[in-house]
Amino acid sequence: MSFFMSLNLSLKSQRFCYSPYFVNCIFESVNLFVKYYMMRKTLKKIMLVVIAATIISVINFENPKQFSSLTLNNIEALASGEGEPNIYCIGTGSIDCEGRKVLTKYNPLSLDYTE
Amino acid sequence: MKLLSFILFITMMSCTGKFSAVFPRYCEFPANKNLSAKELSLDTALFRYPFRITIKDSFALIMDLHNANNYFHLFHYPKMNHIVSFGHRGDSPEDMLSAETFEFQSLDSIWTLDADKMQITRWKITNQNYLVTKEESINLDMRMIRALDFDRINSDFIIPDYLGENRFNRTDCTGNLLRSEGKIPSEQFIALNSSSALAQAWRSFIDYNPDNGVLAIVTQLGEVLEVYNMIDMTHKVIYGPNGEPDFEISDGNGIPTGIMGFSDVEVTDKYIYAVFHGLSFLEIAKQVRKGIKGQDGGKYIYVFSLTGEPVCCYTLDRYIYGIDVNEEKGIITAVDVNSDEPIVEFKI
Repeated sequence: MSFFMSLNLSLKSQRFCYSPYFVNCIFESVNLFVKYYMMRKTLKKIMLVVIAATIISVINFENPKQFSSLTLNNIEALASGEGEPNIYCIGTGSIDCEGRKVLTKYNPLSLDYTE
Repeated sequence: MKLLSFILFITMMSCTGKFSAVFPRYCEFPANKNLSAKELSLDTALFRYPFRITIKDSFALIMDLHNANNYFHLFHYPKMNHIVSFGHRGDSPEDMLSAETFEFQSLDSIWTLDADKMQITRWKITNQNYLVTKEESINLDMRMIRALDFDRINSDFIIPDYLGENRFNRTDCTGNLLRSEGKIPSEQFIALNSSSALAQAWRSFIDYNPDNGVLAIVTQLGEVLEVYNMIDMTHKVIYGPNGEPDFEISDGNGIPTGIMGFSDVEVTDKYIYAVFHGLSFLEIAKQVRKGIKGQDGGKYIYVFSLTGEPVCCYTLDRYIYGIDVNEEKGIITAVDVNSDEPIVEFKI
């Protein structure tokens, strides 16, 4: 916004170039030109940052991160929602687990069953 | 005010840490005896996981919990010649989705329970050519959610409660829920409305003897025996050294953390016989993790009086699941899921 304002000012200042304050006018124009030049540099930097960010995001999209099986399991567990029980039904036996008869069932998050 | 008292009660309970014992406990049995198994040779290899056995006259009916084809197998007893298999496993309307248990009263009165279908079926086997027919199918009241055991009292059914609000349900002969009775005799947990986890942990096996009116209930986890006398309407709860079922709750499920308890119970005219395991689930988990196939089943048969007093402990040389007790002949016939000769006898 300030860039356009300064540009407008510079145009206005050009109209004053034929005024008796000609010298002041030249100084003002130079000053504004310097400011405009500095803003162009800032603009270039901003553009560079935007381009770099775009390139990085495109690269990331094309090469997704490879998750470990543990991470995937955790994601699955989190994605399973509240309605789905987070239990393991293991083996063949007589314990009723999710409608099956298994040797044992346990909570994989239980500290009792982690080594 | 009620809410305040309830919160205060819960707080006090949680502060005390351990509860004082409410129910009587047995520590040991007055008599102990070692029993050796005698294998009964079968003329066919049928079984994958023989779970229940009942002998009536010259027939033995065995239920296989994980059979690929049929759940029930009839044999001549004591020769153990295979006669017929029935209760086809499958998902067609005529098939059984699962088999939990059965009652073998006579060849024309074999009652089986399919928990997944919530259905009790009466089968008939003709004495001539052993033709199996399905006589009636009773759809159980879906308000009970799941039926994992049953017994017949007169023409009604008694089914352990799966919701945790009561101990058992009574249905009429058509499967309609008549009433729910009793409470889970836990000393540590208060049965709330959503206490299905408690009921899962207190999953129990039952047996009723119509001659003496005794209904025995044993827990699959922990070591608790309940004796209901339906004649004088008394109820007794007896805790063993391993106490009540230990469990934790995960997403509304009861996850066992204690020990594997009883796997079968039978009420005879004189005593209550119960098969006891005693192996901890931590040990089972360790075996699973190491890929070890441990012996599955109970190594003990506990004998209680009809009022629940401990009488005798039999220590077996085999690990067994289901039993059939013949007190007159002094024989306990059992099924062993670990062996290629799965039918064994013990002389008592």
